[in-house]
Amino acid sequence: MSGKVSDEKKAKLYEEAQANLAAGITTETQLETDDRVLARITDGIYRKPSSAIRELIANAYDADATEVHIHTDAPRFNSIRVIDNGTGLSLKGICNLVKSIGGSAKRTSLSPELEISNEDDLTKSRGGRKLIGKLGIGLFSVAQLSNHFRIITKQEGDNHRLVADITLNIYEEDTIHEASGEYVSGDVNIWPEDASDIDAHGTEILILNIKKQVQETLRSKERWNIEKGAEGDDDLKPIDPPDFHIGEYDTQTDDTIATTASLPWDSSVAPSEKMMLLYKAIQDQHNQKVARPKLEDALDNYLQAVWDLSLSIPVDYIETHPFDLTQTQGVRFFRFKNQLKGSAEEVELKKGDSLRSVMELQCPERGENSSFSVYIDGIQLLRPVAFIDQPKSSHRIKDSMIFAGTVDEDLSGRPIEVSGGKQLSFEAYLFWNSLILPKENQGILIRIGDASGTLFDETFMKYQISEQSRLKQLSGEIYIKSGLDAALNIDRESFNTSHPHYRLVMNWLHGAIKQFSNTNKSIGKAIRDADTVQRSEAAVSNLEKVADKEIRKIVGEDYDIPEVLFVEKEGQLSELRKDGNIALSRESIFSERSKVQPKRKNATAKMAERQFNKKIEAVAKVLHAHGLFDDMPYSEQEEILRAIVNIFSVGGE
Amino acid sequence: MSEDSFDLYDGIESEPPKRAKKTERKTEFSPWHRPRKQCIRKYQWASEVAELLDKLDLSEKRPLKYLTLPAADFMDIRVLHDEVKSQDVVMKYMGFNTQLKSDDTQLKYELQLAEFEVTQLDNIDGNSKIYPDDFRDLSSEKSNAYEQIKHQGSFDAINLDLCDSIASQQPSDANNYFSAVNELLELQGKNRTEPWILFVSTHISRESVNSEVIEALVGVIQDNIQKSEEFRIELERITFIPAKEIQDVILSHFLGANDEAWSAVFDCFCLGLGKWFLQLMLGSEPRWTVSLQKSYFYSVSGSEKDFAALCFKFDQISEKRIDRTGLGITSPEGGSSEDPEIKCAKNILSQVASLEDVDEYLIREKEVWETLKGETRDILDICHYDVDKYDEWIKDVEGSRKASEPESVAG
Repeated sequence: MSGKVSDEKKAKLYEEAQANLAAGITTETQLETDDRVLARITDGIYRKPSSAIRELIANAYDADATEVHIHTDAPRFNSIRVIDNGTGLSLKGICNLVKSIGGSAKRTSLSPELEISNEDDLTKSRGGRKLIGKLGIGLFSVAQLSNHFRIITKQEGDNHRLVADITLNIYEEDTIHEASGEYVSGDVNIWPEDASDIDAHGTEILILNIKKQVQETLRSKERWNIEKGAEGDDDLKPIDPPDFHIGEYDTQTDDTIATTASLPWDSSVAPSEKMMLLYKAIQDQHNQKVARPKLEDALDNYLQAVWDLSLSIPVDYIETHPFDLTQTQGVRFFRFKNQLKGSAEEVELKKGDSLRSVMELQCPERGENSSFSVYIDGIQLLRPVAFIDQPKSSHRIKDSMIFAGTVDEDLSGRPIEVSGGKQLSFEAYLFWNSLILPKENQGILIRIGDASGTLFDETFMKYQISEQSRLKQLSGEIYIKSGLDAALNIDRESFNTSHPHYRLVMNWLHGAIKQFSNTNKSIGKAIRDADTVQRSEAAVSNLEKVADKEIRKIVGEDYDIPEVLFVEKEGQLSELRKDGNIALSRESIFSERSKVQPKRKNATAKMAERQFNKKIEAVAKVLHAHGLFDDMPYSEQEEILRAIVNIFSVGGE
Repeated sequence: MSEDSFDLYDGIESEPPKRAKKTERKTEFSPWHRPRKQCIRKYQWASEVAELLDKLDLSEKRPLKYLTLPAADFMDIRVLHDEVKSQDVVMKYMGFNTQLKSDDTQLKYELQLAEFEVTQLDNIDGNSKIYPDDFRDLSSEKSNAYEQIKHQGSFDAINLDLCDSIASQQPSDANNYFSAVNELLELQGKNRTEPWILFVSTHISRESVNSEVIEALVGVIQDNIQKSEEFRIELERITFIPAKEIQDVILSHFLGANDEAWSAVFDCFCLGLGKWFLQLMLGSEPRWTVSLQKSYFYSVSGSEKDFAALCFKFDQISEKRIDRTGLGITSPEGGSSEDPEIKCAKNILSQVASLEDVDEYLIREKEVWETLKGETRDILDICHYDVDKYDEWIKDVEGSRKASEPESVAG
C-alpha cells in the first residue's frame, strides 16, 4: 500500500471515528499494515514472550509514563495486563496505528500531530525522553502472545476513555487478499466509554486468549516435565528443578498448584527490594552450589524473563548507576583515552565526587520525568547489575576496576555510506572484577536511549584477541546518546553488524578493551612484584633465623656473630675487617656465577639472587663459627665459598 | 488415542476470539445499590478504616492493605479510596471475583474497564489486583488463591462482603467459608503484629444458614457459659433464654417457624461467630484479642432481621514475662488480670446486644437517607449506570420495603 493511499485511509477512518465518537457509537474497521512483508515478519520474529512485554513497556516509556504495572496472572498466564500512567493515545493516534500496525508513527513528521512525540525534536517524547519504542511494532509484537487484545486509553482532559478491541489474523499463505496490494492483518472495533475522572490519563493493554505454547513456556512446563519424566526412565538424565521459581501450575486440576513457589523473599519484602534479593541469591550459589552460577539453571522461565526485562528497560539499578559511584573501598576508577593503544588513566575520586561529576557523564537522559518504575506481579524491575562488594576469586587483584569513556563523533562531513548518520555519541563503562556473577552478566550490553533488546554480548562484539580469562571477568554497558538506532534489526534484539555506526562502536570497544587489558596487566604485575618482594623478605628473614640457630648450637648464646660482607671494592676490605666483620671479595666468590646468570633481571629474579647471597653469607658464618676460617687465608676462604657458590649455581639456583 | 500417540493439534488454538462491545448505561439495579448499603460502606467500613489508620500511621511508609471480594462496580474500593486519600494514604487492594472466569465476555470486559478506572484513582497502588479465584479455595493450601494470598503477607482490613451466607454450607463441605477464614486468620495471626479489622456481611436466615453450623456456633457459646457467671447472666438478659437450655432452645427456634424467637437465633449466630474467631486467635501463637466494633443489621426479606454487617477488630496480646520467684516486681498486665477470653466474649456479647437496625435508622433520619442516596447515585453514574432510571428504581424499592427481594450479591 502506498503511503499516500495509507494516509487517505487513516484520514477517512479518523473522520468516521470522530463522528462516531460524538454519537457514542462503535467504529468497525480492519487492521492494515503498510507492507505485508512487514506484517509477516513481525508475526514471529521474537524468540521469547518477554520481548512483547518489553515492547509494550517501551511504548509506555515513550508515552512519558512514570509507572507501569504488569499483571501476568502467574502461574496460570490466562491473560496479561499492562497498565501505565502515560499520556494515553488520542483517537487520531489510534486510527493511525490500526491503519499501519507493524509500522511506527514515531519519529515521523506526523507524530507530534498524533500527540506521540515532541514538536521540536521528533526523536523525543513530549516530556523530553529519547524515544525507545516503535509504537506499531510494539503492538504487533503482541501477536506472538495472542490473537486478541484490547486497549483502553485515556488522555488528560478527555471526558471519555477510548477502547480498541483488536483481533489478529494468522498469516495465510494461500488466501491472502492481494487485489489492492493491502494486507489485512485483523479487525478492530473502536468505541468511547464515558469518564468523569477528567484528569486521569494512561493506557491499559489486556492480552486475552494467551496462546497455549506461550503459557507453557511461561509456566516452564518443559522443565517440570523433564524432571518428572526422568523418574524410572534410564535414558533420561534427571535435571534439578530451578532453585527459584513461581511454582508449578497443575494443569490437570483447575486452579491448583503442584509445586509451591520458591522465591528468595518472603511476604514482608517491599517490591523495590525483590530484584536485589534475587541477584544476591544467584550470587550466593557461588558459595553453596556452583562456581559460576547460571541463570538458566537457577531460575524458571518466568524469573528469567523478569531478569531479562529488568536489564532491557530504562529503569534504575538495584544498587546505583555505575556513573554515580563515589569513592568506594575496593573499587578503582579509570578513564579511557580515545586512542587504540596505551593504558587507561586512573581517576582519583575525592570525597563528594562521583564518576559522573568528575567525567561530566550524562546518561541516563530521561527528560522531565526521570522517574520510571516498572512492576511485574509486585516485583519492581531494577537492573540486576552491581559493583560494590562483589564476590572475589583467588585472583591477585582484589579491587574491582571501573573504566569509563565517552565518544562524541561528528560524522556530518563524511559520506553516508561511511558515516551511517550525522552523529554518533555514547558513554560507556567496563567493569572488571575477578568474578562476574551470574555468568550471563559477562559481556557488553548496548543501550540505545537507555533500552536494550540485545542483553550482554559475551563476545564483546566479536573481540578477536585471545583474552579468554580476562574477558570472563569483564562486564560493561554502552549508553548510546545518538546514532546506532538505524543499525538495529527489526526485532530490536540484534544488530546489522555491517552498519557504519555498529563498526564505529565496535572499534571503540575493542580499543577500550586493549586499554583495559594493558591497565589490568600492569596493575597485576605491580601487585605480583610487590608480592614477590614481600615473600622474598620473609624467606630471607627465615633463613637468618635458621642460620642463627645453627651457629648458636656451636658457639653458645654469648658469642657476637660477626657480619659477613661480600664487598665490591677491594680497597674497603681491610677497613671492614678492622671493625670485626668477615669481609670477603664479591668478585672472587661470585665471578663465575655472574657469568651464567642473565643480565636483565626482573623483580623475581632479583629477589632470588638476594636470597642466594644471604644463603652464602649464612654458610660463611657457620664455617666461621666452627673455626674453620680462623687460620685460613682470606683468599682460601674465598676459594671455598666460590666452590660452594658454583655448585649451587648449577641448575639455576 | 493410545498412550504413545501424540496430539497433532497440541498447542494450536481453536477458540476464536470473543469480542466485547461498548457498554450501555446500565438500568438493572441490585440490592447493594440501596442507600442502606452505602450507610454500611460509609459509617462502618470507611469509618472503621479511618480509625485504624490513626493507629497504624501509614502515610508514606506503606500502603493500607485491603482484601476484598468486590462486585463488578468496585463500590467498596471507591468509597474506601476517598477515605484513605483524605488521610494521604495509598491503598493496595487484593480481591477475588470468580466472574473474571465466566464465559460472559461482556461481563469480563466491564470488570476490566471498572478495574482500570479504579487503578487510575489517585491513591490506589498499581500493584493492586483482583484474582479470578474463589475466596473459599483458600481452604486448600494447594490452591492458587492460597498461594497468592500467602505472598501478600497480611492485610490491614479484610472485607468479606458475601454474596450469600458465611454459613450456607455444611462444615464437612470442601471449600466452605469457615475453612477459608480459618486459613486466612492463621496467616494474619502469624504474619503481623499491628491491629487489623475484619468486616463480615452475611445473610443470617433459616433458609441461608446450615443447621450444623448454628449447632457448632452455639456450642462455642456454651463453653463461655461454663467459664463466666457474668457472661451467663448477660446472655440470659439479652436472649431471655435460661443458659442451660440455650443449645436446645436456639436449635428449636432455628428449626421452628417462630418469628418472635428469631431475634435470639440471629444474635446467637453473631455472638457464636465472634466467639469462634476469638477461640481461633487465642489458640494461635502469638495470641490475639477480638472485639466487635459498631455493627449493623437490616432486613433483606422485609420482615425479620436477616442480614448482619459485623466489624471485628484484632489486637495482638503483648505477652509479659512472669517472674515466678517473686524476686522482681511484675507490673500488672495492661492494668487488668481478667482472662482475655472472658473479657472479649463479654465485649462481643454487649456489642451484639446493641447492633443497630439500619432500616429503622434511615426511616428515622430522612436527611441521612437522602445524602446516602445521592452518594450512591454519584458512584453509579461513574460506574456507567443510568441514574435517572436509578431514581425511579429507588422510589419503587424504598416505597415498597415489605416486598421480598433476594440480596444475592453484596457490593
